[in-house]
Amino acid sequence: MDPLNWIVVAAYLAYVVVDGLRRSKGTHRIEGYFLAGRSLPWWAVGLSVMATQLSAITLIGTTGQGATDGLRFVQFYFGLPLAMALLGVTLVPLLRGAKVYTAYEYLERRFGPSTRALTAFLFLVSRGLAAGTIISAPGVVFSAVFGWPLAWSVALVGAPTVLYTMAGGIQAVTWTDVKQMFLIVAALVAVVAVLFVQMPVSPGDAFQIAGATGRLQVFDFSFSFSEKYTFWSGLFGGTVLMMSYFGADQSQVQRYLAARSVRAAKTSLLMSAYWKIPLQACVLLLGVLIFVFYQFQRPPLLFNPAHERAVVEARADEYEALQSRFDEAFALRETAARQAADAPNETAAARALDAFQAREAAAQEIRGEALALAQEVTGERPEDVNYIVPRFVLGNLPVGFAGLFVAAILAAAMSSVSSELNSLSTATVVDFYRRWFRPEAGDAHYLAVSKVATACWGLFACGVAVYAASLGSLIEVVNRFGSFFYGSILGVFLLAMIPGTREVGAVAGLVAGMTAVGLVSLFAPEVEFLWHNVIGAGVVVAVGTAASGAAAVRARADGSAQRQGRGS
Amino acid sequence: MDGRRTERTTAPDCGSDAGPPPPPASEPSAEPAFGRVLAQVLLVQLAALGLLWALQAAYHR
Repeated sequence: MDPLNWIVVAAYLAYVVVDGLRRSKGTHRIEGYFLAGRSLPWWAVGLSVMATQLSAITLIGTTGQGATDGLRFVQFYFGLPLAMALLGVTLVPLLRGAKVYTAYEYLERRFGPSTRALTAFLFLVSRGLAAGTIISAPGVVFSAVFGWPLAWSVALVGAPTVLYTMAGGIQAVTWTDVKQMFLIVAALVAVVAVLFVQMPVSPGDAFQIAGATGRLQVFDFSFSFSEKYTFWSGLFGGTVLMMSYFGADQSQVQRYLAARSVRAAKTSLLMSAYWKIPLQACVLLLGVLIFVFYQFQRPPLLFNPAHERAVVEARADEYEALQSRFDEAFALRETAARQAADAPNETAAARALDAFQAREAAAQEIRGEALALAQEVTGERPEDVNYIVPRFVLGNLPVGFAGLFVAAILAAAMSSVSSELNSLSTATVVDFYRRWFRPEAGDAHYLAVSKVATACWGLFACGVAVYAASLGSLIEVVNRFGSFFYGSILGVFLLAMIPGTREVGAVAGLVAGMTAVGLVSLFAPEVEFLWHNVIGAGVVVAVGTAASGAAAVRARADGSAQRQGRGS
Repeated sequence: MDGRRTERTTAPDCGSDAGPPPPPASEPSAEPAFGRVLAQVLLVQLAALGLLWALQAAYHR
């Protein structure tokens, strides 16, 4: 990468650390460290929530998904506005009114200590490992692209983030998130602008070519439990998933607990709903445009440079043969794409697009062979989709723009990780340390412990990130485990809003919900994960209400037996 | 750290725990009303979905 690009990256890192550390001044009380004295304006909370959601995986993986699969992934977010509106009138006023530090603290007040401890523990396990994977994703890509050891890439993301999160708490997290969000959007806009300038065909022709490969299909109204992204799974499964994430996950809840009023908290949530679908569509569209760009400029056969190097070293002849077949297929595909763009009328355009589709299928077949070869040589899943955008950015953007995009990837990763670390520290200190070990200590003590907890979670996340590649299958297990209880935890909060429900119902419902999702996952693997959240939440509410009812009946029976005993 | 502190209604400077005293109850809030923002959110989503629908209808084969 050009030195000027590195200067842009270094300037971003220096600024974000200095800005984050500046926020530590005046954060002397625990309420300030975790909740910013419940003083943050709605727009800052909203931008912070958006920045947390937009991780490096979005910038790298989702754009790549747009390039390979098109726009259909946007359906995943169709439930978000509905979820935010529902949360705005249910959980947000409830949690704000309870004046709690964590969502799980509220569950103790409503049900009892077992429910709080169980849900907080599940949060710590899942979010601790998730923080590691968030650092790992850009780390692996940077290492492959720049040829660094993975530990360096992890340190590049992890060290500054831990530093400013530890020092400044939620003030540093929120205000750096706001600036990081602006940087991310600026970088996306810059790349889209450059793409349109460099594209050798008009935007209309670019969309014709993308549409011919199915990449502009957004809506799929088929009702199928086995289709990952449909309108209905996005609307129903997505609503429950987003409600779980924003209503029951401390990394999000903490942000609106820090807002200056209930109304500011509700508005901040709506603000992130405001931009999510348009922003996500733009991210996917960027990937689609990169796909079209590569119809006119020869792309690498393998986008992952580390795999490319490994295959060239181990099986040079085979790779060369594939490369020459791919070059021929690319030349034919490019000709077909140009004919489609230059067609004088609709009939000629339709014929040319048919020819283009056939050439595209032939090129993809050769790429599939190259990916299989890479997997055979390296023993790793190729994950080539994650390298499409980085390779495009480093190979085609003007000097300065590439640095801006690399800084945006770092910003996206850091904004997500900082929120995770801050919320992990909060739950550790408030739900466990203060609750079970030192309930009577002063603010200075809790503040010191909170900073140590942030640093420890940061080290843990960096450790997970470094070993994430070798722990691949374990991480997958953890992610699946996470999907087992996400909907179920939301179910516990929904249960809390039903009058008369009890702790026995909450614990029984939580266990039943997770078991039900586990059984569905085991015996009906065709049911896609978005539906797991609906099943989990539904089972918790049903079993929890029934168990609470049964407990109430038993308590009444015991009470009347005791009264009769006293009477006789 | 008792979690029961009275909620503040005004923003202090960023980086400080302590905020200025709360405004009088009659002071108009700078925060937009929930219903109005919700209506705007729904409009923006419908506009975005409409654009995506038009893109699919025009170019998807």
